[in-house]
Amino acid sequence: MPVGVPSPALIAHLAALRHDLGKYVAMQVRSLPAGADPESLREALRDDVARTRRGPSGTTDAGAVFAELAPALRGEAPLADGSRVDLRGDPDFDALAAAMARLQQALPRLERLEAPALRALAADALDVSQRCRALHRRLQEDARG
Amino acid sequence: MAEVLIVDDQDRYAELCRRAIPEHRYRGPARTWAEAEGELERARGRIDLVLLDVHFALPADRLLGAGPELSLAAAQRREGIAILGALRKRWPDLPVVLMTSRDELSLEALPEDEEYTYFLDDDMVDAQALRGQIESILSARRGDEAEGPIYWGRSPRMRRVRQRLAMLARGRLPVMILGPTGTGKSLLARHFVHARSGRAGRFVAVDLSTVPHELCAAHLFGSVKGAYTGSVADRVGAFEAASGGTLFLDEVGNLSSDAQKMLLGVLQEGTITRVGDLKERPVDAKLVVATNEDLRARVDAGTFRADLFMRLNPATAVELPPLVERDPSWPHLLAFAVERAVAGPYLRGLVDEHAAATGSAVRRVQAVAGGRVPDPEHGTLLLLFGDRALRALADHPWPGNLREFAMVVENAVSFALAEAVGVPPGERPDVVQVRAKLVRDLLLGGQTRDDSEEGWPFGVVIRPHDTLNKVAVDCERQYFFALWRHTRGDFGKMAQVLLGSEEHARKVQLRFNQLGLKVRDLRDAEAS
Repeated sequence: MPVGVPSPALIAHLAALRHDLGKYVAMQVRSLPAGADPESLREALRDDVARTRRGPSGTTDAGAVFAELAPALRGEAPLADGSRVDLRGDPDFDALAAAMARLQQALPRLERLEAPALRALAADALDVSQRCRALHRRLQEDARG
Repeated sequence: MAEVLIVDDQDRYAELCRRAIPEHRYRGPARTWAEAEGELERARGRIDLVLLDVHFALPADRLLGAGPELSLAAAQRREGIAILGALRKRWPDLPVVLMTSRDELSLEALPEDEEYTYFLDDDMVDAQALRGQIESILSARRGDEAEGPIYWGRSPRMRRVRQRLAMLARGRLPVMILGPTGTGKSLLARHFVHARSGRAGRFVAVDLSTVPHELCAAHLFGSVKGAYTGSVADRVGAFEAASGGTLFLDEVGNLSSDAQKMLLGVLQEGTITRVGDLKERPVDAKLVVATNEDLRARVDAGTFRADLFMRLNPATAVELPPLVERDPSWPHLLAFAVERAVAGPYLRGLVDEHAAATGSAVRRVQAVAGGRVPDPEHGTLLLLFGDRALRALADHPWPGNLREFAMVVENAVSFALAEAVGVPPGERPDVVQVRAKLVRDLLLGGQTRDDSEEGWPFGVVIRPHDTLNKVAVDCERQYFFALWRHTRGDFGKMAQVLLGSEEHARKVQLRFNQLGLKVRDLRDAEAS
């Protein structure tokens, strides 16, 4: 759904999505060599998707990070300035949401996944990361005119 | 190995760095500005780089940038920028990498362009890219601090010195370098000024404190056969030898009055006349002079020509600060000094002996500062200076500056290697520990002297390849120094002891200088 000129609140929200989710959801996966073995892939995904943000205040998985930020991008919750926006229909947002859904679905079975499924999951993690950045960049450019 | 402080409320970057870039030592993550500041204070200049996140999901009371004008979320989102601002007030030239790309930040949140603030090339960075970026920043930093045999340090003052010298090097006017003993005046003249002068000729250095006054003119300007007693052939002077290149006159305050007059003529006319000759010869040498004396005071006292002083371009004189005022990164300085020391034949011989004893091939010797020992690397011998050894070095006042530092490090490495050679290799034969006690003893040895009437203790390191002459000179130097202190610097009294008459004071002083002892340096060292 078109959003017109993106508001500063939307841009700030997308920056948060890019930072909190996009940066960390594929941090280990990105660092793996091409053709990494399944166990390395599994370990990287465990780190990136199941323990996306971690620090003294605890551990949060990618699904929880997305669940916190996504409602305000689907018009289900207000942005910081009280406005509402619905990004559904935006190709990057839709692809991001779809990849997130696949990640969340596969996460409980992570320890049992075979190599092809692990590779597909790693590709999804990378896609989430790229889409977060692309979405923020594009709307930021739109906002700057 | 660099020391990197991570400032982040999350663990991810710290884990990534420790796992994927293990060649550096990491502190943190510091979660708040208060923790980061504490780490930086405790490190006392040993942090080489800060990795700083931007978003800190902390409660308002732990945020530096929280205030009524910002929502909590907005303050959290730019806390890293607030921390950067606070850090810059105390550590203006410490490299900081903001762990974000430029375009991730809103325009108003961007810090002002600062020389030592970096962004990630890509916020979706992988470990290899992050390693590459860190290395590039650190190597640029090392390039700032060390160049060839010169250690610059990180202080803004030394940066200005470097810029000014680079500019003066290319000009035609003389360059005057001032500064206390051991600050590297002659190294700068040779390896920086001459190297940047664009001149193809030779670099010729003359230490005027070791040239007898009566021979000073002949030494600098040359002489013809029969010009003075013992002059059996025509002789080219230092000015002619340096023509097309650079002439460095160290301790220029020691110029005899005749030589001062002749030097003034050279600077005015661009020609020299050899002693005993009438023929003028053109010379084109870039002149660099150095002294640790107050030449202006000498002019006021009438012992140095005012017109020559003005010709030496005092308006652009470059003053080298003492080592401790250069804000040195001690681990880097240590690595720098060790690298230079082990390049010499004696230490190289000890390294080879150690390699033979442990059955390893050593291609590289590396100083490691701090407690953490890197994993073994084939062909690398690690000289480990632990935290306490490093602290001892950092706490020392270094009255002899870089020269003293280099000597202490060379001695420490030498003793540590010699001790290690006779000991069966332990778990890590590639590591030689330089004990803190050894370092402290060496530092103490430079500060305390026994003045008892019973005599003075000698400390001579006799090396397998030293000539008898070198050993004798080492002993003689110590005796002269002890005697100089005993007579409170009275060369007449020294001459009385050494040659039976105070009339030989000048001879004694000359020998004193030839031995590399300099009165002003010794007085400075005593005073400090």
